[in-house]
This record gives sequence, C-alpha cells and structure tokens, in this order.
Amino acid sequence: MLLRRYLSVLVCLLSCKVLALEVDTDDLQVITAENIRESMIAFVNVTTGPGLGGATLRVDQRNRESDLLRGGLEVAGDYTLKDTVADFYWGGALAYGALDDELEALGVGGRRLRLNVERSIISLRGSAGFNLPVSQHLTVRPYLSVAGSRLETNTRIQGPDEINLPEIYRDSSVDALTTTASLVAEYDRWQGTRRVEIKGHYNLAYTDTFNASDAGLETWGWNNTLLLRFRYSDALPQSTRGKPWRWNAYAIHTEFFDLDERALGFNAYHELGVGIDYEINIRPLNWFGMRFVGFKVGYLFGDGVDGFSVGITF
Amino acid sequence: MRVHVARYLLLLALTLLQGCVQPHLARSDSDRALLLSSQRILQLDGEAPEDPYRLHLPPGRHVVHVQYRTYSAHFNCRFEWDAVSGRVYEIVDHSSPEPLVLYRWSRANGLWAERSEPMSPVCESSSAK
Repeated sequence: MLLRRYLSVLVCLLSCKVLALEVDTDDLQVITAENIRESMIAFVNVTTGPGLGGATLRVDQRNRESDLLRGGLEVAGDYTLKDTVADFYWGGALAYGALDDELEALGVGGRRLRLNVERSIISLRGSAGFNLPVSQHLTVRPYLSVAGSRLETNTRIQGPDEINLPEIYRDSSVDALTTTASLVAEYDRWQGTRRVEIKGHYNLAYTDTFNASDAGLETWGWNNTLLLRFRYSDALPQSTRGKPWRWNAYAIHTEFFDLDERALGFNAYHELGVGIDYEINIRPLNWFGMRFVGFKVGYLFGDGVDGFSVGITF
Repeated sequence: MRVHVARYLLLLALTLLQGCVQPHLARSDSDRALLLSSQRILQLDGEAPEDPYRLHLPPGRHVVHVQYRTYSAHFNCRFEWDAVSGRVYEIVDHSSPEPLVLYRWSRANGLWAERSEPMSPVCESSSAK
C-alpha cells in the first residue's frame, strides 16, 4: 500500500512536474514546473553569459549539494573605423558548462525524495558592437550577442534511504537561443608602470528554448547580470625576448538579478584572484592584436557557495 | 563524449582559420620603410600626407603627427624616430599611458605577426568641441 502510494507520487512528479523542495524542514517551499524551467534558463545564463570566465562553483547547503563547472574559449577584438571616433567591436566564444545538482525534495504527497539532476551545455556565441572612447581613460562598449546552445539533462529520482524503492531516470535535451544586450564601461589609469582598471559589465539576456525532447521544456526567460571588476597590475623586473611580464590582482562581484536562489543555490558571488601576464604583442593572421597572454587563479565565494577559477587569459 | 565534441569543434575552427584565411600582408620596399596607422596621420615631416593611414618613408629620421580622437578630447601625438629601410612600423591605440604607441611590425611566421620596440609619443590634448 505504501509502495503504491509512493510510486503514484513519483509518477505525478514526472508527469505533472510539480515538486516541493525541502529548503528547511520547518520551512517547506513549493517549486512548480515554472521554477524547474527557470532553473534551466538560469543554468544557460550562468554558463554562457558574456564576460563570465571559466570557474567551478560548489553549493554546499542544507539539503543541497551541487557542482557547477563552466569554461570556454573566448576571443574578442576591435576593428578601427577610419575617420570615426567609434571602433567596431567583435567577439566569439565556445563555452561549455556542466552542473551536478543533488537535493532533497518533498513530493506532493509530503514524502521525502532525493533528486539528482545532471546538466551539460555547449554553446557558441558571436558578439558585435562598438567601442566608444568617451575620454582617454573611459570607454563605453554597447554590443549584442547571439548564442546557440545545446542543453542535455539527466534526472534521477530516488526514494529515501530507509525505504527501498526503484530509481526513476529521465533524459531530456533542448536547444536554446539567447540574445544578450551588453553594456560595458571600462576606466583605466596609469601611474608609471602601475595600472588600475575598473570595469562594469551589464547583460540583459533573453533565452528561448526549442527542439525540446519534452514539451514541458519549451520555455523562455529574461536574465539580468551585473559584473563589477577592479584590477591592479604592475610590471615585473623580468622580461623575455625583450618583452615584459606583469602581475595583477583583481576582485570581481557578480550579481544575477531576478534569479531565484532556489534555482541554482546562489544568485551572487565574489572572486578574488591573482595573475601574471606576458606582453606577447602579436597579431594572429594579422587580423587582430593579442597583447597579453597570461595565467590567473581566483577564489570564488558567496552565500552558501564557493569555488575557484583557473584560466589562461589573452 | 561531449568533451571530445568540444575539442573537435575547436580544432575545426582553428583549421578553418589557418586554411581558409589568407593573412593580410604588409610589405615595405627594400629601399623604403612602411608606416601603417590605425589613426589619421596629420603630418609627415611638416607636410600633410597623401594617404593619412599608410606611408612609404625614405630611411632616416622622421617626425609624424597623428590624431587620436575621443568624444571629450582630441589628441595630437608626435612621434620622432629613425626609420630603417625594409622595415614596417605601426601606430596603434593600445590602452597605454599615452593614447597611441608606435611599434615595429614584423612577420614571425605564417600564422602571426609580431609587434616590438614600442615607442611612446608626446601628446597634446584639446577639447573635442
């Protein structure tokens, strides 16, 4: 009898896509199918948004443990428009992200379930816009990006440890098209060999999904993201082939506005890091300038989330 | 599997870049130097040049004035250097202490060109209005 009732709850979970997550044993909150779709859109945004670098993020909260990985290859450059103040800006990125989310939930019948969601995404993005030099030290860059993504999800639902129930698996896939309007303001100042850079980066993204294996995944959503970065760098005494090395330290605050914290377990985090750059100063294919090649490592932290980032910068 | 797909796409993109794109070539005459500028060259040795973005120079000492414009100010940057015949020079906006930098440009191989021997100008600013 108990088994039959339990299975009926699981079937309801999958067919009706209605979950109640146990955020706190004394404070249960109901998450609807819309919240599940919002979680999917949030994952697309957090892993493919312009300006977001490679990182791992670990959410370790009561009733929830998840690991998020994102990374990719991103290139960007300017094309000088002769006899105009503005320059043309272009960019492209190949991004990859993965999420392993384990949480405890309550079915609609009030029974405890264990939910394991594994998501992965691969995305290709192109950007175009303008660099507008307001002054020698301040540049504003409005640009548009279009990203096509392929998202795959494996869901596993288990019963509680004390009751031996069959596991239920579900695989799904969906494509997503994200259009992002970005506004970047960069301010920099030199004092001798020292350089201070302050950057604000705002993204407004609209994501629409299609080609879903399950009609319930056809959805759309808006996201707002703000990144604030402070960076200090200075020259090192070393040089290689006559070209100098520089070290840097940076701090970044990333805020995902309108993102329900239940979707991914966080909606903001900070990053502190250091890096080293070599002024290689080349022009690949004589198309665009690549001034620095560097390595950076950063520590990410926030409310219930931490992680690190390691990356090659150029 | 997905990692392999990502690697394959990256390799494909790089192959296309290398195989299908003919790099732009900048060559100077053997008895002259070539100066390329992303910004308008106002004067070469006191005279307005015919092409404000690409100049062939006899070897020797030269003075060029290059304009760099923003929405709030215009800069007149003066470079003075000894041009060597057969070499290519390039003036670019490079987020440096001065608005512009002059580099020696040289082809390293079939995939990239190199900028070296940076030289800063002396710049004077004036209001954009």
